[in-house]
Amino acid sequence: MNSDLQTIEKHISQEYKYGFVTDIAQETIPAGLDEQVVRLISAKKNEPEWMTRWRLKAYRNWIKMTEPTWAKVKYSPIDYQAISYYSAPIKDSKKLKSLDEVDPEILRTYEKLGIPLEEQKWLAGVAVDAVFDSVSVATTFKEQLNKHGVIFCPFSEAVQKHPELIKKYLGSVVPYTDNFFAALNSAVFSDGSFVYIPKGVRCPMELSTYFRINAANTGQFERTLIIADEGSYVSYLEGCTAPMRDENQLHAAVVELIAHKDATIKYSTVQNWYPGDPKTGKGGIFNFVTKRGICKGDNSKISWTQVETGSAITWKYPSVILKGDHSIGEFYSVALTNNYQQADTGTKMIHIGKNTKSTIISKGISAGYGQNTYRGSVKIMKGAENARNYSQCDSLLIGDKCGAHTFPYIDVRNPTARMEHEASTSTIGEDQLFYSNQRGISTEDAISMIVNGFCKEVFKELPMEFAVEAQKLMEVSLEGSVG
Amino acid sequence: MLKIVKQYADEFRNLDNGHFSTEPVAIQNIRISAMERFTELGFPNNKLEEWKNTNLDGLTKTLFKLPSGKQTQITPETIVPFSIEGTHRLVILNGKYLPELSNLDNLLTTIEIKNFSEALTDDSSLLAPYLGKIADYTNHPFVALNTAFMDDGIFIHVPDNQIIENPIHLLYISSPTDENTVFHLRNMIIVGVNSEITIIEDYVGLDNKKYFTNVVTEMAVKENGTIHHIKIQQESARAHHISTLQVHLDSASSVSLDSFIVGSSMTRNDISAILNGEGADCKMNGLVLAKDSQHIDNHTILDHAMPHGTSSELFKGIYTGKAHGIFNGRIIVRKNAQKTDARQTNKNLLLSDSALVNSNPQLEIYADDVKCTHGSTTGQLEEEALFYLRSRGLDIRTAQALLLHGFADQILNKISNLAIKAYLQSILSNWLSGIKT
Repeated sequence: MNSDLQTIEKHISQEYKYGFVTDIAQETIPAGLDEQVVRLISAKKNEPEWMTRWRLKAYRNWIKMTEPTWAKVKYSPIDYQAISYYSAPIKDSKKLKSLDEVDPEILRTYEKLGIPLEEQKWLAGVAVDAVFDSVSVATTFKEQLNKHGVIFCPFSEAVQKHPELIKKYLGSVVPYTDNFFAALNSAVFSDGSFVYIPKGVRCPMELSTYFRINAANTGQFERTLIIADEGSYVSYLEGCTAPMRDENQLHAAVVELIAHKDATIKYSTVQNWYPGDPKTGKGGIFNFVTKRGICKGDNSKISWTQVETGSAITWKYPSVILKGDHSIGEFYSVALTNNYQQADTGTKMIHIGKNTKSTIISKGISAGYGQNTYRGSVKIMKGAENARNYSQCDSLLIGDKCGAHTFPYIDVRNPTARMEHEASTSTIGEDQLFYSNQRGISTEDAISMIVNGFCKEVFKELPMEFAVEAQKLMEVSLEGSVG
Repeated sequence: MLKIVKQYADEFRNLDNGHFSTEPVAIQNIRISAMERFTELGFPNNKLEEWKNTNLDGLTKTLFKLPSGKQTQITPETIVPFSIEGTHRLVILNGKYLPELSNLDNLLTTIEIKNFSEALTDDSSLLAPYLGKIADYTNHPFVALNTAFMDDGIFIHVPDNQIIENPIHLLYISSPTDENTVFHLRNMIIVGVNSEITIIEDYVGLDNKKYFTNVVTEMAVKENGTIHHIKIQQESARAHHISTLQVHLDSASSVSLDSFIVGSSMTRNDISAILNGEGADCKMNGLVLAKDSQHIDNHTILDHAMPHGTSSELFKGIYTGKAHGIFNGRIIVRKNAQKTDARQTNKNLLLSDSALVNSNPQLEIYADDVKCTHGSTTGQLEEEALFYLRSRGLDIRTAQALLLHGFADQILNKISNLAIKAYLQSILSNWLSGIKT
């Protein structure tokens, strides 16, 4: 672990100072969506005219679109007019008074993950007089980032301060016409992160939403834009392993990555939102995300790593457009569905440039009544000479009521391409468990060991501190899946 | 309703008042409900997931007429190139059974075999449990269209405990007198307990007319029975071929389904097997050889509904010119089907810049104690292998031909009957010598 993170760790585990003022209470817009609401959101954020116009264009496009139904997930229809599209941070009055009011199940999970007490309160949405001293944490790393010319700020701040970059890149990878949820996000996005790495800069630390100031209330329509200019490198972490309390059921985020010549972007996600009641599956988060990166310049590289253990429904296909010659796209994923969770996730690799390479490693684990689908597409366009793809999609089934599905789409339009796709579905063998039991390892431990071994190829792609947490997370998420 | 769909409906009404009215009422009712279903469904379009990559404009823009009463004259010499030694042969010319060119020998003493239109009336009680039940017409527009218009084909019923040594060669010859003729062929093969049979369905086009073959084959195999089914499609270059093959497997039965596709301008081949009994085994193999602007779409389903089933599937394709190949293979393992072992492989070779392949292998698994794998590769001939052969004195063309032969032989070698294998070898060699590499 590097020293910066140690500094951060130290700060977040210390006693918190009193007196942090959070006087940003605002009214909530009534439920429903029309042009007025879009204008209002834009006005509340004090956005320039061009931004408002862009949102409106997206909105007008959205009303013409229909919700996609091809994903292998089932949920009762969403009433988009029953959602409030702009809400202020939860007021203290709505918050729980102490940890005693929090679901003991969640508390137990926090303990297992080793989350400090104060942080537990923050995550569970308990009102705390002492707020994280995030300012001091932030200052430490902000100074360092400034020194290198890296821009890392909330999206709304970037709209004000760096309009030329936003104008140039916003919607250039995921246009608002892309799909239903992306269009909705474009019209009403709340906030998110903006990252710009200048030419030739290797970002001195792992950037994380977790440590960004005001990251707590990015709302349900998050928008992230990361630009890596020529020859730069950045590693970005999204989410955290602790289960987050959230008021909003629908989450529709958009992430756009742009890698210029010789640049590398590494994007890691750990998603552990509330999966719903384990007995009925009610109330979990719907996570409908559009993530896409473009390897614009030659020799650029984009790597997605995701660990998806939360949400009632996950609908997510981080993709890479390999436009530059010799560019590389990678996708490493672990998706776990337990109880009544459903996941339809995978990737798209679109090979346009010559000698482009892509690797897909997907590990799906289903337990309980979980339904886990890998859906991926690899396209080799006509001009993509010597393109190379390797895909491996493995599924592990625990219990006889869950399902695992693999739907890869492979389109090849160039004879010099080399494509390989492999998939397997299996269960944890009785012999494997017997072997472990025989050597004194309990069934639960054995399963956790086997699952972690199964996911190892993906975990090793995660930044060190994430990887350790991810392993613990798998254990916790799989709890009770063996009869 | 599209104009073309309406035209088919009108044509059906004319026949229903005349020709079909002599059939048993039950059959007539099936026809009527299939036609109703077809008018509801209409022709599929690219927006449907199952038809995403196949453009049906060539089929849906023209009204294909049922064969005229006039029959083309063919002589025994015409079919010499298509004869396979040691087989019983049944010839269906332009959608009608031709007894004079068929040789059934002593087959009729052991099994029941007759042309389908006759069986519809004579054996309707034997047909009833299967007709339209194996091949579901409620979801597939072409099956619905076929069920409404189904005409001739072959009906085979093998009673229990009969092993038929010699393969039965069903030779479908298309040589229509008019352009834009459609043949709605229908076959049914029922194999009893402990019985075994080998069937070759062979589709041949004789001249260069544009026609449309819409064939549905329903097969059922009972406990411990065996079917070896080999389908050869060598239609003429302007033909459209839409085929649906559906199989029901009872417990401990075993079925092999081999497809060889070289002909037609457009082919859609739906093959699906349901393993409905414990311990059934299904093998599915296919070889596609496509050139020019051929469009070959293969959709296969292996549906494991009961425990201890095994299946293996190997589909290979060689594509050159502007050919477009689609492989869509689905393995379904239902909740009950524990201890299933299913494997699927798709391998494609692209020999030209303009050839295109879509490969969609799919696994849909609802049971946990299973072993399922699929793999898919697409690429060109290995540089290293070519280099190896050339370094041993083979010129590039010979080296390529050798490698292509090797690629295809993996499928041909699955056929145990030597005469059938030799017949397929000659089709393969012919095709390979006709392409530019």
